[in-house]
Amino acid sequence: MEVTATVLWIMALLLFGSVASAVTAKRRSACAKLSFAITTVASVLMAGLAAQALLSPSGSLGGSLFRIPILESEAAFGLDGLGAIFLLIIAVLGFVAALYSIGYITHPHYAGESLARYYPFFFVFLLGMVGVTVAWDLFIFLVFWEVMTLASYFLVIFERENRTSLRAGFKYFVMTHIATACLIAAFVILRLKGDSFGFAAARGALSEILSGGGILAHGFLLLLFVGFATKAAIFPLGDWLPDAHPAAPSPISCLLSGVMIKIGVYGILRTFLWIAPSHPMISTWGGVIAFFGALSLFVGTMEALAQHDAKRLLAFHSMGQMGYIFLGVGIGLAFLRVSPALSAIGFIGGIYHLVNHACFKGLLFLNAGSTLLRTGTRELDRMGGLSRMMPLTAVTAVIASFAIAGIPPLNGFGSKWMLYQVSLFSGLQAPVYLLYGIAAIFISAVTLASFIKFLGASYFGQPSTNVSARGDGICEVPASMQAAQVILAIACVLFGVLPFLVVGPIHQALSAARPGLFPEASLLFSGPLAGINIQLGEGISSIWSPLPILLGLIVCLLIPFFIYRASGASVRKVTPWVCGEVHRPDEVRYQASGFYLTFRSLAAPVVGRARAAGFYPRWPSIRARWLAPVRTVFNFDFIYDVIVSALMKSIGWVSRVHSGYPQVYVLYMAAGLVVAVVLLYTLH
Amino acid sequence: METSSAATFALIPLICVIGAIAAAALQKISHWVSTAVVGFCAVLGLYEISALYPGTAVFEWQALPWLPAGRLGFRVDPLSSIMLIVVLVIGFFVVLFSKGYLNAGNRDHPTRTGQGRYYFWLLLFIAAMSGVVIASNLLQLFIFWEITTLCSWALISFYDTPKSLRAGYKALLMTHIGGLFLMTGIVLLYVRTHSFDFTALNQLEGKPLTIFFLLALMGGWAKAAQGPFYTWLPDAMEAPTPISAYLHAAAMVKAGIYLIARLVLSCSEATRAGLVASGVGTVMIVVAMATLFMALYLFFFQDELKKLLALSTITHLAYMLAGCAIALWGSWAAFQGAVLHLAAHAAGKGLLFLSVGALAYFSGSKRISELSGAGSKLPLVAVGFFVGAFTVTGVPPFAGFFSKLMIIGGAFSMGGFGPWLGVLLLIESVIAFAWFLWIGQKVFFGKLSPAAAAIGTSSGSMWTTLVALIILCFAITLVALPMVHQLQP
Repeated sequence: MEVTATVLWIMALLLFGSVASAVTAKRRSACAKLSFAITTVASVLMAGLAAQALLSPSGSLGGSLFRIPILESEAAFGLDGLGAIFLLIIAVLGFVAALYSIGYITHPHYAGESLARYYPFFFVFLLGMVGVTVAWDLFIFLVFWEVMTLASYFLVIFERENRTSLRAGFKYFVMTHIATACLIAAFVILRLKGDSFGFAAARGALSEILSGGGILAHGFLLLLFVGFATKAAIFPLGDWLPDAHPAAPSPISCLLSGVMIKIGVYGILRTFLWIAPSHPMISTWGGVIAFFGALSLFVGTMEALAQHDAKRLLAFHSMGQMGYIFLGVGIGLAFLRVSPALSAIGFIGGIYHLVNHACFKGLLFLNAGSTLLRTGTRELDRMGGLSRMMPLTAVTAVIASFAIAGIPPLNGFGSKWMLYQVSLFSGLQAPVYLLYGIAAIFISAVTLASFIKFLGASYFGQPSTNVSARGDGICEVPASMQAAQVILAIACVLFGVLPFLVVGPIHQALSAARPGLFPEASLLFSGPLAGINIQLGEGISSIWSPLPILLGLIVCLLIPFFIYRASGASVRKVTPWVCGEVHRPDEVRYQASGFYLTFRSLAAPVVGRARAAGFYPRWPSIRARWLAPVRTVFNFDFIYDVIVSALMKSIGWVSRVHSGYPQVYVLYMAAGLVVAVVLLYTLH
Repeated sequence: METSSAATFALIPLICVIGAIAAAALQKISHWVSTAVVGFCAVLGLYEISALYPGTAVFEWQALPWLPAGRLGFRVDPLSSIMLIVVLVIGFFVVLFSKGYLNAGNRDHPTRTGQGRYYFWLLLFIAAMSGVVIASNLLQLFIFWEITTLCSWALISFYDTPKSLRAGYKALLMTHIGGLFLMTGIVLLYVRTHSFDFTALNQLEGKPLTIFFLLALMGGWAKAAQGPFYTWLPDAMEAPTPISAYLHAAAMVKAGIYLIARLVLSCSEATRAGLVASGVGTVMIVVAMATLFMALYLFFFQDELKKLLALSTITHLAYMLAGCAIALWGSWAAFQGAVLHLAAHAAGKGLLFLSVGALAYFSGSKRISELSGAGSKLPLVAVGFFVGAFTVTGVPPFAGFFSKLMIIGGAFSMGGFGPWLGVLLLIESVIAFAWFLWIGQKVFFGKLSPAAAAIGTSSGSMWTTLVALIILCFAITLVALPMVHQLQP
């Protein structure tokens, strides 16, 4: 497939979908199915294109579509391994989200909201993301980048009568728009140095800027970092995320968290790794990226521990998991010049985690959506015991939760394991990375704790009064939604058990991005049983083989099961004994808000009357009362008033001449006659 | 250079004047007459421009024997063409919109009589405005310039309320004072060079050049509501909304920009260097940036939608003047961006005004504090508002993004304090964007307010205009970008 033509076809298809869904929006079910069909076709095209780019040795490059001479833009599309990975994620999650939407968005819960505000933006959102990954020109990149934000903003405020949604959407759009302004500044500078917006010209321009050195070059890299890290929801720049993700409908949260925030990482990779040359400054910024990654994973996950709104909890975990990815990518950049092997493992670990996060976080948001539809709430306190009524959703949620918490042999473990390895190994050279690594390992445990709460409070335990009251209303979600969840759950298992499925293409994409720099895959990864076997020079190696572990785990699970069966012990089911007190059912349940109280009080110490707000800072609201009076300074009407009053006065003076009495006018005439006669005589 | 086609351009103001008189005479069907006349002129103008592009047409004739340099004539080049497209196309849609707006069903301002007067002045304005853009010399430009001021006065005062009469008077007086400065400048130019030609300013140098340019700038600032002259524009929002959209966003205030752009374009390299050396360029930039941030500051205290849009217009005109000023340093992309922004802003701000007009028509209120949730009642108006807001604040893929990018790129490439200028422009852009998003959310989303709940289901002939302008907010880039590219020194 030719890249430019295929990309244009995909875009045309998505635009058509946007229009078609707007037209058919009144017939909700038909609109949803039609949109799903269109998304499927687009996804297949995207996946085909991505597969082609990943399989071809050099990555397939597109050509220039048309030049925009005045803007110095090539308007070119192209795709290499790096872009293909992201394109593939878009294809899969876009497909899953559209599949899930069929049942979700047509549910009576959203009866009041028009689909004309959902699907058209859904398609444009996909279009924007596709455009960013296939752009081969900074200008095109920028345009699609903002189209993506624009469309997702309208999806975040889908429930437009809800004040919280509106506030979240506003915050999201403004924060990311500021980030875009940073990118605009950075790209304009690149264009001036390179005389074109094309990627090829940008390469020369960036190396020129870097060789110039000094504070200007750092300022430039800061612009890029802020622009991309804001989108990637890295703490503290990603403050928009905990508000925006819960506000959006669940399939959109799945796309936002599963795909869009990753596009920020794509930007980092594209600029810092692909466009930029190897330069000490890039390594410095690798350190900065790793630092913010570590900070983000710590703060985000710690704060997630205190949440009991299902989607808000997941959103904070997104912030945390993006921290893991940034940590890996940061280490990769930091060691790019010193140790390519270490660097390669950093990058691969980061991108592998990125792919995994797309799978399990996308799935978790879908799970949260399913429970939201059935229980009518996002509050974990008002769920409980759902696994009996929604078994499949519960199973997928368990898989996803274990994956994100890094339980072997699921995919989250594989990537986190690589990230631990790389931070520990790099800690040998710069101890600070050791600290990051320890933080990452600790936070993995915190993640598990948080998801035990998530699972325990929603799927297991006793049902809450809310759940009991709904009775038979709570049942498994429709087949289309189940299918969407199952697809992602399978991916979580598959990418965990067979890591080379993901790691291989990532390595290839990296090698293409920096030809000849990174060690061959055979040198880096070798070993038995389809696992990952990291070889970092002599004596340093570590092995992760999921299949034997999986086998061991199965055996370990089977033995107690058979012992249990063989023993034939009787099981007694009774209601909990509460000392005979009269109580409401909710009082004797384990609720989400009851988890980790000690931790939360530790995190929010009370000092006198002040109370710290926990790990996550609450930004103070600014109310500057002096702002309003200052505006009188700008009232320049006094100049005008002076002129007008002077004019009015002189007019009044003139008008006094006109008394209205005929006698006076006759007098004027006589006086005028005299003056005229006198003048005539004197002139002669 | 073609001579014959320039003469056909002269038909446009002529036909409009005839149409104006016809509209005044035929009170009852004045709307249809005006629509037909302006529609014809728009088609004629577009056809002529497409036939001419990318050339320049000049037609001159010795009309005033007693004035040695009194050649009258017409000159159409890409800069004029862009302005002419804006004037005629937006003008046509505004005339179309006026039918639906100016009637008894208007909840904000029920109008039963006066249509003839309205269309007379509107068409006269279109004639004068096309006269300004196709004028081949400063004298002629000035004459048409003053006619537009007159039309502005009459149309602002259209409702005959004390407030609107005062606003019209204020606009007349302030723009006229600016006009006097311009006239003094033109006289100075004539005394020194015996010519009214635009390019005659290249014969000036040193102090006379500085003084001439500053006097012309005063005229431009007054017309474009810049610096201390800005106060007339928010007050002029007493005018009927289509007039605010057309005169006070899309066309008349742009005459000030057109004048400055025309002068900058006519400058030779030496003249530009002279202007930079004498500090005129710096003055332009300082005034533009001061106006930009002053008007931006006033955004936050403005409760009336139309006045907010007027303030936003002031910031965008400042943006364009900043672009023109940057061009004096030789950074030509900024100039092209400024002219592109002129077109993009005309489409976007025109759309914003007409959306607000439609909102006021149905709800009877223009107050931000009184309106909420109107989007569910008037979805197309909501789309119009957001598209307009995104266009003027520069969100891709709408037109304003391209022009702002070019201006900012130009600022970065001018050297010296240029990058800081670019950063300031970016900051302004982001803040203005945030505020418009906030206001858009407040007015169109959220729970229904009583004023918004009272909106009945009513059909209007306004929808055509809104849809057309929404499309124009995308499409104007495609038309204007190649034309802007022709603007080389």
